[in-house]
Amino acid sequence: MPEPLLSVRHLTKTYPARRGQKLIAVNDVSFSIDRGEAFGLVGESGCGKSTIARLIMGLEKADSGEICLDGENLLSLRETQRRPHRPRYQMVFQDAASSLNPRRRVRDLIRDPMVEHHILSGDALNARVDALLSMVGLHPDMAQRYPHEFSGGQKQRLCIARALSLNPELLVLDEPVSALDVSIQAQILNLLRDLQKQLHLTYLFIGHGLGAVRYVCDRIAVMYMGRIMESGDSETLFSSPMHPYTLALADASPSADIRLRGRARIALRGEMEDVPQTGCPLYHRCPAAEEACQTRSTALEEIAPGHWTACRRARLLREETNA
Amino acid sequence: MHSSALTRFLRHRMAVLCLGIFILVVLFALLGPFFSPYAPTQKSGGFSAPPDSAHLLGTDKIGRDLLTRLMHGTRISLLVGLSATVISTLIGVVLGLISGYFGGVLDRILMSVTDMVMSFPYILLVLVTAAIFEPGLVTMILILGFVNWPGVTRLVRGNVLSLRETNFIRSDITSGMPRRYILFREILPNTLSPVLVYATSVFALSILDEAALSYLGMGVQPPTPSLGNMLSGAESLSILTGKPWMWLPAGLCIILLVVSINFIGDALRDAMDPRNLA
Repeated sequence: MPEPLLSVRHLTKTYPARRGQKLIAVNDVSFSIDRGEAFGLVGESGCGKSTIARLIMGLEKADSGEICLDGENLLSLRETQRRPHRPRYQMVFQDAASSLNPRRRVRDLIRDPMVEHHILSGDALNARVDALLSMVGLHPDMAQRYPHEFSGGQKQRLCIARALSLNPELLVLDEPVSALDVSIQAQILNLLRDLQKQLHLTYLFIGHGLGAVRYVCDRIAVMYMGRIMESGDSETLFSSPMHPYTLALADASPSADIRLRGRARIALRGEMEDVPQTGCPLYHRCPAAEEACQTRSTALEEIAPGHWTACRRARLLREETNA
Repeated sequence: MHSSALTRFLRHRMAVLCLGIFILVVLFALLGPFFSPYAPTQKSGGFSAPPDSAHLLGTDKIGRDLLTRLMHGTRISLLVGLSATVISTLIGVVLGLISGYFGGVLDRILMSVTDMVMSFPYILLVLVTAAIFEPGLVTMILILGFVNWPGVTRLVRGNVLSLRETNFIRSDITSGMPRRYILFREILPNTLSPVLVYATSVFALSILDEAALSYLGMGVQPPTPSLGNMLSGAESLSILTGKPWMWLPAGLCIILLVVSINFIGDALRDAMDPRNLA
């Protein structure tokens, strides 16, 4: 089996919180992404998915764990040692508007990273900027403009072009469409899918709704309170989710899929609360919770090939739902 | 973007008027002496003579032409104001960038120093300095340049702190852009317009401070004229009440300069507000 392009092992990140407590943003998370694969991370706001993106990109320091790109642990490198590796993994942020320096022309914005990393120079550089703009569906003439002259969707296209300029292998997409109009979202998602095929990119796609993530990704992991609740390939996860949280997430998003209608719906109670110290983090909100869930630990368990879930009642629950 | 900032500036009638006044005063100071038949230190008339056709603003108490001295004095005051502003802005920008970008212990040390300088009564500082060194033009420029940087430092530091959290700086980091690029190509240009606005008020303040210090005899030393030491004639009650030509023009000049610079600064603030940029 080939080595995965990115593998994250036992990643943990905590933040100091009130009264000397710690907020565990990412709790012992492990996953790996193969070359050419699109992997999705889904979960509600605050579940730690964006923190994982920032940890991978080195924008924040992890408490413990490993992030290996092609076998090399990025967390053991100093920033100066990391810099030559930087072009290999790039990030697209949720808020495209603030991702572009308002005082610089598009041509300079896209060109600077390539100049810095000595990728191209002279006329070839300008030609490359034009090519990148066309690649993301913008006109090369737009290179002379300033970012504020573009619409939200166009700005996100610019960010994608800038990220692609360094020929990355891995693209970390942190909710790239969440801030856009629904009609624009589909365009950007299509663009991302096309680019992935065309350039053989590997994606880590972060989103809060299953719909967009499922559209782009081959495999999905569902996160809740800093932990992975369930992971598997997107079709399986979508058509036969095992974890109550995944079920609730799927039910929360309206679906045009007729097969899913009429199925018993699962709704969570209440809001995210303090993480229970032991047992299942979803315990307080889970409609299927029983006494034992409060104390028994919930490690990921492979219940079907490639399909992992952290719910000890998953099998039982599924039978109940189908009955 | 720049043209719209200009149109926003031009909408401020008062600021446009003040810009005109400011330019006139500057031209008066820079070009005026070429048309004057007298040198600023030349005794050319009677003592404390009122205005007449030979001396349009009269003469001072040792017979020097006051109009000529006013031109040169304004020159000196502008020079002091500008130099002090440039010095304090440079110090402030450099320290602010360092403090905001690198943070940590360095930031804490720099901020303590800033607070210290800010809370120090600078008149005292100036008096002590003037007592130790020779009071004069250069000393005063250095002193004023040194007391006014903390404000700029705090402003720049705050800006850097908020810019550091923006996605475009984050994406520079993730693209592996070096520190000098992030600091000088991305952060600095985005900090310049608030600094420019702040610098106008430092400019106005420095002119006032020069006037105050020279008036006290701790600044520009006679016979070199400055707006401040020309006012010192008004110390005497008989001059203050009976011979207004000896101090009124210098006072007016200070007021015109300070008021016009402040109005220009206000309009710049509105014109360059980042909220208007998008």
